[in-house]
Amino acid sequence: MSSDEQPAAPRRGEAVVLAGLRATLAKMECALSSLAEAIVWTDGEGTVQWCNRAFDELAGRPHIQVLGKCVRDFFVLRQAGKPVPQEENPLFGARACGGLCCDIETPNGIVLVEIQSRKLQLTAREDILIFVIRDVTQEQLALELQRSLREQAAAQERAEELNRQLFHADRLKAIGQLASGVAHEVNNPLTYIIGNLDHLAAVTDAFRADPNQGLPADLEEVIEETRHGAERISRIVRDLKVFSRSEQDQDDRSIDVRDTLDVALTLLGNEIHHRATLKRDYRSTPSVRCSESRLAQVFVNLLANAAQALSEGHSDEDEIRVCTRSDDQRRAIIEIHDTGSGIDPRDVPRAFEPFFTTKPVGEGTGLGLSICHGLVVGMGGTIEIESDVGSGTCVRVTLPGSVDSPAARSQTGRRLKDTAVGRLLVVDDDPAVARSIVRMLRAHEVVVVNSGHGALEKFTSDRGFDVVFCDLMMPDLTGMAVYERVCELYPGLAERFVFITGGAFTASAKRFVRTVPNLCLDKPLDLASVRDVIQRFVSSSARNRKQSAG
Amino acid sequence: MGRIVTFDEVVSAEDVPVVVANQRGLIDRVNQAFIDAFGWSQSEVAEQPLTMLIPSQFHDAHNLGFSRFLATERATLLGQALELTIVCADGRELAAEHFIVAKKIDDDWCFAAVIRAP
Repeated sequence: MSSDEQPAAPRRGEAVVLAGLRATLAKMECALSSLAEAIVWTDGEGTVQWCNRAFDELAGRPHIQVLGKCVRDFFVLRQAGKPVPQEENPLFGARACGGLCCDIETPNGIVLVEIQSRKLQLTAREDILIFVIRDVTQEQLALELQRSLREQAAAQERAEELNRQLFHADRLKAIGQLASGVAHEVNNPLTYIIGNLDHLAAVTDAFRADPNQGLPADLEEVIEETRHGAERISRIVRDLKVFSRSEQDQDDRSIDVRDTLDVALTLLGNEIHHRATLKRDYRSTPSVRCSESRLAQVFVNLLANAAQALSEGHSDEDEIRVCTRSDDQRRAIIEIHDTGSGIDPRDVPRAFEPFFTTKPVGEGTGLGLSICHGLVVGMGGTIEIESDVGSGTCVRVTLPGSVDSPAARSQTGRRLKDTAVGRLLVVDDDPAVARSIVRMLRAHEVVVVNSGHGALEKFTSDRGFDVVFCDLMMPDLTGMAVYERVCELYPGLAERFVFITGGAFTASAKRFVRTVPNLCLDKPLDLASVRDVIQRFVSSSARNRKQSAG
Repeated sequence: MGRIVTFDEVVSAEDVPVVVANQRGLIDRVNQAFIDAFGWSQSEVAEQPLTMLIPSQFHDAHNLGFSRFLATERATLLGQALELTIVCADGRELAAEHFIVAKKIDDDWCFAAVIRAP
């Protein structure tokens, strides 16, 4: 630099300007140095003219040893372990544009960085290159962690779905195994129901032929026995429904474990009956909160195991004892004892392992107890086995008590007398079901229509019903569609709908039953429940009429 | 030569090259050892910016660092031996050890540096 290029000493005004410029430069220096990103600018050859503190740290050298050096001397850029080719390397100024993600080796180890670079032409003779280098190692680790967590969650979801499928498959398998026993349980009452009905038909014929001969003395007994048989079938079907519920319908609710044990015992009645004497020892037990279907699956598996541990034909010698009680922590304890040959103590610890079985090849999958274990643990409970070779086995299930009040056994057989006469509409596509309801409710004025469209047509001219018993699943127009239309057209009438169903087997019907505020009654209808419903609606109508009149 | 550490010791040193500058970044004076070592005359450097002694690739860093020191009064390079480069009167750039010190005199900073070429 020659002396004639040097500026003259600044005058006072220039000194003020200089001081202002210095203040601005100072702010820039401080601001850029405070950033976490490493910033460096170089001349066109890559010689460092300035850099911030973050760059010094990345380079692992004091500031003064970074200045004036070539930026390429500090780092080797690598991608997938290989040096980045010169034509893609932003540190080679001629190609300095855009961004690049790569590893750089620093004195502190390998760091994953994103390098943004820009080439600026300040004057015709002067280019500068600016690099902003951001350490994205932590960011990348966070992303990888996030991805790993997502993958774990997906794997967990897949595992849970597999478990659900496994549970369901186990239940279907059990239903298959139970089918012959259940058929037997149904066929027995069917035998005497059909026999009794034949007998009643003969009695009716004889009465028509000679009304003076009077009715046989056992008529009431025959009718009561027939009803009892039908109720037995109804109970078996209801229990099968509880057991066979799909995995999508596993809502937790407060359950009396004794009711669920009875469901399992009904389904396995035939299996147990031929092998052992069944003893129930049901003591006060807290309610538990879980899926009734899953709990039934556990009990069916355990009771089937207990039955299979006993040989056929010795039912008077062998025993299956089912006990329930609570412990001092308000947990429900369920024990299933059998007097079978017991389990070898060496096998007990492995009993809940998947695919572990002591049964002969082809007779057991070894999944039953493992599935029970999974289900019980899923309910927050425990399952354990105590066994003595030669004297039998006890499987103990412990479940946490729910916060609900102590379980009260379900009540059946309640009879109510009709006290008020109502006007009812029955909407059911099965004429036999409709006729039976008419007979059942003969104390009331009952109108019947046999289709959803028929119901809507009826409502155009006649809506004076205290209750509308509407079948849910009808081929022309479902009960749900009828209800939806009535909600739009006659909201007052919609409140008087009571749905009756032999089983909500479509997804939309299941959802509807869960969400609709109206009552849903299961077929076969329980007369006491139906009468109870009618009385409530009729009383409510009477009150409304009275208030309107007042 | 004894150990030169303080500002006063630097500005009074005669047997090592010394340059003294003001807080505007202009050179006040250089000693004879400096003139002998780097070829500049007193008249060539007096009242000229320090950047005339600094290679151009260090100008940005000097301007920013000098400005930051004046604004913050926090030094990063003062009081330590620094391996830097100096521009000689004939245009050569020589690696030289710089030892820079500063002192505030009547509200103005004064800077002095001992510059030893090998």
